[in-house]
Amino acid sequence: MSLMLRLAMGGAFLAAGWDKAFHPRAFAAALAAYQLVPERLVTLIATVLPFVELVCGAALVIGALTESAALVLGVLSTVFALAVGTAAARGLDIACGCFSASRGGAVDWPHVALDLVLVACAGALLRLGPGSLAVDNWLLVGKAGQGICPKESE
Amino acid sequence: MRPGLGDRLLGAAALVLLGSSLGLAAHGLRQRQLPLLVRYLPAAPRGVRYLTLLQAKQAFDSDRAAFVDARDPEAYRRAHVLGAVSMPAWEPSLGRQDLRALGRADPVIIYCDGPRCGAARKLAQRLARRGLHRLCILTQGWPGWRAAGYPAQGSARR
Repeated sequence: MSLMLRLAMGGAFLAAGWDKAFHPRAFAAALAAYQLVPERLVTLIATVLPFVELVCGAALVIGALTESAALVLGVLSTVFALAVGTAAARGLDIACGCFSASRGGAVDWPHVALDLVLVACAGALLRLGPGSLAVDNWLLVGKAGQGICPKESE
Repeated sequence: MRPGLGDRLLGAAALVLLGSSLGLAAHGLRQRQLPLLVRYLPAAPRGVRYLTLLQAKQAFDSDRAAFVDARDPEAYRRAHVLGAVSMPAWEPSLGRQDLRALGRADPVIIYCDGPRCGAARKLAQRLARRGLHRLCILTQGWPGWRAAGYPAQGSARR
């Protein structure tokens, strides 16, 4: 279950981050259209956010720092849901910029629902842990609780 | 053994830091960089003139100018320049009839919420792409027009 959630959520954010990372101008325009971010921060956020998505998406897929990645992506998905929801509620007819910088349709309630599903996935991963086939299992904690980095006192 | 909240937060901070560093590194490698930490404004297309209030009023009085309100529809409904058409800058589609009417106007004066708003530039960019010429932006925007007491209409005209 955890493995499927990791692959689905990690894959979604890898795909979303990939397109936005290569089109920062289009993403900045989409971000500015929400009128929620201070104008001085628009380009900075458009520059770093796609890479945070990529790093956390990749971390989920390979199961490294799984719960931390789920935490970051859960918080991001919550923010996205609120942003898209308030934009839809305000009647803004703007590009979503959710899974692509310029394509992917306008802000609407299905996008909010999708973001909430991602929040639920993140919550489930925080509860269930990394599951099988995760780097966390091999590197951070050994089977008997002895990781590859032994405590200093040992 | 599952990581505690502190470890999760530490890991989250590390991931955000790594992602941000990669983003800034990629930014440094780009040839056409987006300027960081400056006000984001879509570039105005070439040939767009900026008008003072007085110039805009003279154009208004000439009856050949068309005014375009680039703000959101709610702001337009409350009050706008007399005779202005509403074209919210972020709306994906522009009305064909309005575009045809604007094609005959000289000049087309776009305004939004003052010199600090980007909507007028954004709309000017889109209209120029649709082949419209003689585009101007009223620098002082709606607040300047209202403060000058020039002709206006709307549900809450002030």
